[in-house]
Parts: sequence; C-alpha cells; structure tokens
Amino acid sequence: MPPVRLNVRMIDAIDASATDEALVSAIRENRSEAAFALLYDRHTPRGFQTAWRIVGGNPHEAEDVVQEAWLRAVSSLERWRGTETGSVRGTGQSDFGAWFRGITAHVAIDVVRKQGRLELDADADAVCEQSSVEWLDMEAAILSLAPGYRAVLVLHDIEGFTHEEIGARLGITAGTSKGQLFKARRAVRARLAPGLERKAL
Amino acid sequence: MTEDSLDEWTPEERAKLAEVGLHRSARSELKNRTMVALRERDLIGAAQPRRSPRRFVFGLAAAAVLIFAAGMLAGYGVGLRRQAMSSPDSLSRAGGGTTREVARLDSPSTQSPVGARYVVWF
Repeated sequence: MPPVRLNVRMIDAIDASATDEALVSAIRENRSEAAFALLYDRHTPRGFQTAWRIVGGNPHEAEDVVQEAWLRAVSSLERWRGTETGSVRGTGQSDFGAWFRGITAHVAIDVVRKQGRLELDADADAVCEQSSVEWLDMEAAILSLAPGYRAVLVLHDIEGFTHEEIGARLGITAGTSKGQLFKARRAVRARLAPGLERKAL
Repeated sequence: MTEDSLDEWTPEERAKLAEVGLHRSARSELKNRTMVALRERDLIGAAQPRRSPRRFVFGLAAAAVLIFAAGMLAGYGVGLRRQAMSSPDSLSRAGGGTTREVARLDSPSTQSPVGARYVVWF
C-alpha cells in the first residue's frame, strides 16, 4: 500500500524568524509553501536586482529570470547544505542568498547568451548604445555597456564574484575576464557625469 | 601595481556602483506566479495524486473488451431472433407449436410481402 501523504497546507506553520537552513529543510522535507514564501521574501529583492543589472534593465526579463532561478533552486535544494560560502568574498558563513544569486546570475547570463547578445571577444565594442545624452549617471552608464562587458562588471564589481568564477560562468579565462573588466570600467568612466568622473583619467 | 588596482573605483564611484538597481523591485504578482509554477512541477505544496499510466491503460483495455463483448452478445441475440422469425418450421422443430400455429405460419399471408409481389408480377 502506498504511503499516505498528509496535506501539508493544513500543518504548514512556519516561524517567521526561522533561519534559511530551517526553511530549506521545511521545503525539502514537508514541501512547505509557507517556508518557501518566507525564503522568497528574503532573497528575491537582491536576486531581482542581480538579474535586472545583467539583462540590462528590462524588468520583465528580470522577473522571468528570477522565476526560473527559483525553480532551479528549489529543485536542487539538496545541493545547498547550509555550509556553502556562496560566491561572496570573505563572508565565511552559510549564505543561501549568495547561492541563490549565483543561480540567478547563471540564468540571466543564459538569457543574454540565447539572445545572441553576449559578445566577449577582445575586439567587441564595450559600449553598445550611444546615448544622445552627453553624460550619464552610473546606472545608465552601466546599462549602456555591451552585454558581455556589463555581465563581467556587474558580476565582479557589484556581485562580488572572482575572475575565476566569472570565467567559469561565461566560458572565458580569468585573464579575459580581467581584460573585459578593465575595458568596461574605462567605458563607464568615460560616460560618467563630470562630478563622478575620475580625476586621474 | 596591477592593472586591477590602477583601474580601481574611487570610494565615491564605488558608492554609486552599489546603488545601481537598488531601487528596482519585482512586481508582487511574481511571487504568486512562481509559487504556481513550483506547485505545477510538484516541488511545493500537497503532493498531486499521481494517476498510474499502467492502470489507466488496463482500465481502457478492460472497457474496450466489455463494450466489444456486449456488442457481440447483442448482435448474436438479434441474429437468433431473426432466424427464429424467418424459419416457419422452427416451432415444430422445437416441438412446441400447435397445429393451428403451424397452419398459420404455413399460410400465404405469413410469407414475405416481397414474395407476394413476385407472384403478382409473374
């Protein structure tokens, strides 16, 4: 006789102060919707921002990326044991958020790659859109970068990935990642408003 | 000095960099949409009762056999009744007919109307 499954919605009570590890356990063992809802509320805001930056500021694409990232994360929760340091340098502690943002970045890169926008060769232009505005703020300057350069800059300078990790995700060497970052930073600086322009340039 | 350090952001730039996209947030519908997608993939919520495909195929085959058998029996029954109706001496063969019944069955009025028409034409 097959084992009888309890209706978890009836017994799905989760303490809002539960740790990420407890929430992950509740999802894995009881398929708890309440636990997922809490985990979603905690980590979606940053995950969305990561996706938004990599896909170039399109909120609908970023939402699709986040949804796909959650599907991948929940279906592979056994791979997160609560002891990973994620990809955030120097945290040295369990970080579900970093693990989730890693998945989000991966999905976002896949989306950009499928659209054929991820050019990573050295000859590619660092800036893809020439704005009619002479000076841009930091956000607009980053969004105006070509997707490949933007991905490297966002992953390294904002998300805290190492060049080795970026290389593994983008299928390039760590050296290429460094070179792309250098060009991306220069391209951003060249378009920053005078108040933000680096004096040394 | 490395290439990286030569090109480092100033503290002011770094602060601006950290703010990129910070005020952006997903719409509230995304949560519901994501939970529906997770439920559809059977990753959260009550487990969906799974219908075994083998049981479904067996059920379908059993239903087909029953319908076929019922049709065969009905057809056989109709055939038997027609045979009984069209055979005039069936009653006497069965030994259950009276002399009057045999006479009625044997009379020209019980012959098929088509047969009667042939007599008129020829």
